[in-house]
Amino acid sequence: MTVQHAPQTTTTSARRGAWEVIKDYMMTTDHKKIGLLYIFVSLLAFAIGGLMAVGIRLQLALPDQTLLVGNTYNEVLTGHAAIMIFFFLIPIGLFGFGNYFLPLQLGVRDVALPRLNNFAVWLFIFSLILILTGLWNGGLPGVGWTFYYPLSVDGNQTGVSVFMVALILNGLGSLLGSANFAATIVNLRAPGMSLWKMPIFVWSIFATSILQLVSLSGLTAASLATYLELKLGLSMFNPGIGGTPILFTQFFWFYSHPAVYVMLLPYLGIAAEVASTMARKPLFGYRVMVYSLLGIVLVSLLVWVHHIFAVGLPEGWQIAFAIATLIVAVPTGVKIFNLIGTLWGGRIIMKTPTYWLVGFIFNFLIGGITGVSLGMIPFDYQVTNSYYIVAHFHNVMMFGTAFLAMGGLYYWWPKMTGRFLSERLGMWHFWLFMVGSWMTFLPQYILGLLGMPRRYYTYPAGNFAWTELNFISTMGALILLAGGIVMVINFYQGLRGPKTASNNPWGGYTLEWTASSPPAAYNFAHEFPRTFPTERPLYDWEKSGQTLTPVDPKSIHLPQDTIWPFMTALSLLFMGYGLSFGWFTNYTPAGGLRAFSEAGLSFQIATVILYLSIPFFFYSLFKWAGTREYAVPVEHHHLTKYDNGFMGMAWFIISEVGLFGVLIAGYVYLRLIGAAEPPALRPNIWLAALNTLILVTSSFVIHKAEQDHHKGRYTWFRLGLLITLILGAVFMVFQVYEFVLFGVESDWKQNLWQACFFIIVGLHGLHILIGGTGIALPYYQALTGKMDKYNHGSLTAASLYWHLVDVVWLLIVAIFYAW
Amino acid sequence: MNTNQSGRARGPGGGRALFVRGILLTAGAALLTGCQSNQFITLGDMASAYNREIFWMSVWAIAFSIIIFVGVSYALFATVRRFREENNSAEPAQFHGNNRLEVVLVAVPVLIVIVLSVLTVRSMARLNPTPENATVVSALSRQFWWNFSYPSATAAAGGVVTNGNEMVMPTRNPVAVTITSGDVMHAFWAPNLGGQRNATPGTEKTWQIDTDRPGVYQGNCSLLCGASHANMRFKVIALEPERYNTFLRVAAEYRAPTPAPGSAEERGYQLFMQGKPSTGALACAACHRVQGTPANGAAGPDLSFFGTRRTLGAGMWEGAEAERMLIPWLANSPGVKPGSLMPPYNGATYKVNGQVQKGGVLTEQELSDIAAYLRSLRLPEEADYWRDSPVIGSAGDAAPRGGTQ
Ligand code: HEM
Ligand SMILES: [Cu+2]
Ligand SMILES: [Cu+2]
Repeated sequence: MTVQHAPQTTTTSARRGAWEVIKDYMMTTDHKKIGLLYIFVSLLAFAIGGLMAVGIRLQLALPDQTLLVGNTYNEVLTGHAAIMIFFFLIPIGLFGFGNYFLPLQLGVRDVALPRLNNFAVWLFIFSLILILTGLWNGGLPGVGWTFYYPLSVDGNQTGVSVFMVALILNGLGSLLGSANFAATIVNLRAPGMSLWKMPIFVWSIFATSILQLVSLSGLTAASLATYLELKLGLSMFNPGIGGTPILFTQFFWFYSHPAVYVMLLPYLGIAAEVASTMARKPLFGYRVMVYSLLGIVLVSLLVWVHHIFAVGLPEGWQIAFAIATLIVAVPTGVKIFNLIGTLWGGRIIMKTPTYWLVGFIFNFLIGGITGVSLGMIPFDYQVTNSYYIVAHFHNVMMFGTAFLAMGGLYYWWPKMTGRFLSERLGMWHFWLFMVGSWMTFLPQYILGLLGMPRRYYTYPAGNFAWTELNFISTMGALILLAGGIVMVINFYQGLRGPKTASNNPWGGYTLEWTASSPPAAYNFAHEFPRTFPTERPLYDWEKSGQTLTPVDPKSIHLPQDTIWPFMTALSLLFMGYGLSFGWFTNYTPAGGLRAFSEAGLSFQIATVILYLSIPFFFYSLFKWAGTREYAVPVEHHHLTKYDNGFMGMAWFIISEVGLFGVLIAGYVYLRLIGAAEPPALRPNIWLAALNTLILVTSSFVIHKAEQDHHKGRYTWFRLGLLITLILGAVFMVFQVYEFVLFGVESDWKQNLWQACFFIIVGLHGLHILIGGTGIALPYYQALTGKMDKYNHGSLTAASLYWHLVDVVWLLIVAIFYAW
Repeated sequence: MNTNQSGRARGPGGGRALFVRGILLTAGAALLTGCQSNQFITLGDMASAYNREIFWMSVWAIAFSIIIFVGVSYALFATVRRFREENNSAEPAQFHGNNRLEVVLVAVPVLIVIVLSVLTVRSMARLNPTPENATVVSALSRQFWWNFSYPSATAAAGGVVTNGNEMVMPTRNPVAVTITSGDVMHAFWAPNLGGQRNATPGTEKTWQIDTDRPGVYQGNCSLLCGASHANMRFKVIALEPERYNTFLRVAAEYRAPTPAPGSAEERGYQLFMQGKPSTGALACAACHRVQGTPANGAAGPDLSFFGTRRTLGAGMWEGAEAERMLIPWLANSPGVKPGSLMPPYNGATYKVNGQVQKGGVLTEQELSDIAAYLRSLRLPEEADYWRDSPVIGSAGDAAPRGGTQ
């Protein structure tokens, strides 16, 4: 593979101080640095979660151990699972590799919204820190990462609120990242690269992002409702007032099943890249692989009930979901067959990435087969909640896709660092992980068949084979630990050796391999030919003799660094801390409203932090809006007629629709089964009608304002924004009045309808505030002269969001005021 | 190792009984470390019609699985072996796929999926509807214990026959367990008898289990429910239908024996009913029911036949162990069972609803009086369901004679 390269710029590498580096990462808008942050934090989380797992296994090595007993065990178990899922396996693939390689593979200089990207990664990191603050506020929650209701509101549990808040923040970061990817793919690709010529990894990130945007709302709804019950006693699930805990499981799994695929799809992309490169061949059935990605996205949204067969839902439901579950196996199988087909006929370079790939295929085969067995409901009734399940999901995650996370690291390490990882240590790492996983988890399948329930902190001696199998499993975990140590050594050394990696060490075919290793800040000092005959441009161009056109790096402009996205995220960390351990007033559902002085010290501190975080948030946000993205005026090019802000918001809105959709579906269900009946005194339809008028008017006003801006009538434009803001404020005044009235009239802790009303209408009210803030930003930009004909600031995004808030309101009027 | 052959594993289906054992013994050759097991829990217990049904349902799935596993892994390793650089110097062929093959690779799994769906639906149609002739048992789950009651057996002394943590059922007869929860979610699981069903507060779900073989079976809570989730076990004792009926009849007539005046039992009885307000020791009767006495509490497991029971603390201890642990349990239940919601009686603290509280105080003598009273709560001999009931998989063919005495 010989491709011409632009002259490399020499990197000035005076060793920078640690603080300089940290500051750089706080302020960066570079997708590569952000990707590295995700990867680094994820690996750290993998280490923490892994040590927790070793603790779990030591406790279970023999019967009646006393290392981690009772709720302490449950806390470690919850921490292990939550960290592995939300802070390792989801982020490293989707956001770590995604951020680093998606723009490189698309041949562009950054993602669509680089500053939002910085905000998202810090939200991610802060949500991890937030969970850990639970450690000195009573401990981690012991409710399992699934936080089933009503265990989550059990009085003996601590740390659930902070877990909920952290999940919501983590989810927000995740959604912003996903919307950003989708917008990047739609709006920014190298000229000439059509969707069907994108590398498969980009497709897998696209598919995963869409899946996140559509489904994450289930988790947000579940954690929001749990949080509100803990803080305010607002419940949709409380059986005491007619709610049902089963609804919680529906919310939760509506996301958490697709989450499994969020932990799979990016890795299938990596697998395909590795296979094609290492076999030196095109992908086998590129189009079919893309279709099966999209097929998985679709079907994975329709299988969540398979986690709750044992709840005993109506048989028809169960069967429908069981069949969908079995069907998912088909596109998943296609991916596996096609990976083997890609290897077939090649000249396979057997290096570490290839080993991880082959190991993955083999392990995943077993995991897939056992997964299908779980779709057969009567069998699932037996093994659900048993160690068979534990074995199954570790089979697909730990020694399934996590193997490809490792494969991705070995494959792209030279690109990211300019250095190679040691092959010898890599082999040790691989084989220790392989043998360790088998020893740890295969016995657990048998344990499940022998009736050992999962999440048991202890077991008695004397059950046939339990002791032996558990002991083997623990030995396996220790082997995994050894593998982890080798991994750390290898990575550490891999950051210190000489930079020997060429631009394209493996002979890959996609655009990232034309950048230097590691790539310069601007990614490419060249432009690409404009023809993309297949998804392997480097191969095609070599054949056709097309070459890269050098570009003078000095002519490239990148977004300027700014601290404000980081500060905004930081303010949300404080706000999250305050919302978790304090509250606006000293209110508890059990004790009612008390004097602030009666609260405990940590509650008081948290409350003060909460209040302080609000001005901090607004200050940072407006500073952010007031800082130009580029130091010099730059012409943005995008492939569609929509600017990047609008495009990002359009994708993001899918998730908002999903959030209201999930909550409203829950409410409509409770209403239809007769559980949620409005109390005699209920909010007045006339006030709602007036409010509707106000909101609809505001929608027209902002639309008009947008047009004024377009036509250059700036005074009218600013006036329009101001009127919109005023209308929103009037709406809020009426809304608050109505809430106070209704809250006094009857007790929301006793009436399910009222609880649903406050949760959903209240959430809408919060969206009015967010939307209003969104409009205030371009207003501020306009006032400070940051906007002109070419620079729309955040206007289009804000007005789109405002329209969404209005549409949701119309729905709310229909189902809460008219019905 | 092979001490677990149950001498009584006969009955219809006994021939193929415990098919998993065969697989296990081969797979587990490495396990032959001379282990002593006295209980065999498995969903491969073919004495249950439920397990027979899923076995025959799974046979096809297992066959497909083996074919797919062997086929695909062969394809994988053969490909890697043949085409690795070291073995193959040919220029890689630059082909982009093969649509014909692709169609086959989709069609075959689709066919398999159809077959499996049909099998699933067929088995569900057989297993899920509650049979009309089923014996009904209600299971109430609480943190961290069970109450099993028999709606058809109204006690002469009032209330319904109920037993804590030990469920009695007839053999050769489907048993419909109606499951609910009094607090968080739990799940009912006795693998040898059938699948799981979640216990959800506010909802009742019915689930069928059955077995052809009399004996003692292990059950567990299988859904994370708090600190002592792992200690929320139960026993299911399957009796021949005649014995089962005797049990029910006698249990319905049962009234707790009145202790002789001046005896230890008598003193225990007084403490049980009244507690010791002077030290803050709550009356046991506030939380426990004893059939035929004023004790009618519902916040803890039913103790009507406690003397007949072999387990303590929802299956945490059995037999002699349970015997030994009774006094420590009474003295400080949360101390020996994490998260237990029974108050300690030695003045220790415990946590209820996030609040740390202090238990009352009883003297050692008083505790042993209560223990004596508890042990006196025995069903008549003919209703002792432990008598001659073999533990499935144990060497001895019968549990040591009943009772914690
Ligand atoms: C060193 C590797 C690992 C070991 C030894 C290990 C071990 C364990 C153990 C013993 C449990 C407890 C099962 C129970 O009590 O029910 C568990 C639970 C779990 N693990 Fe892992 N694990 C490892 C890695 C991973 C990875 C990489 C993931 C996924 C990213 C993962 C995801 C989970 C999940 C989702 C649970 C379920 C927790 C629950 O029941 O709530 N684990 N793991
Ligand atoms: Cu799933
Ligand atoms: Cu439990």
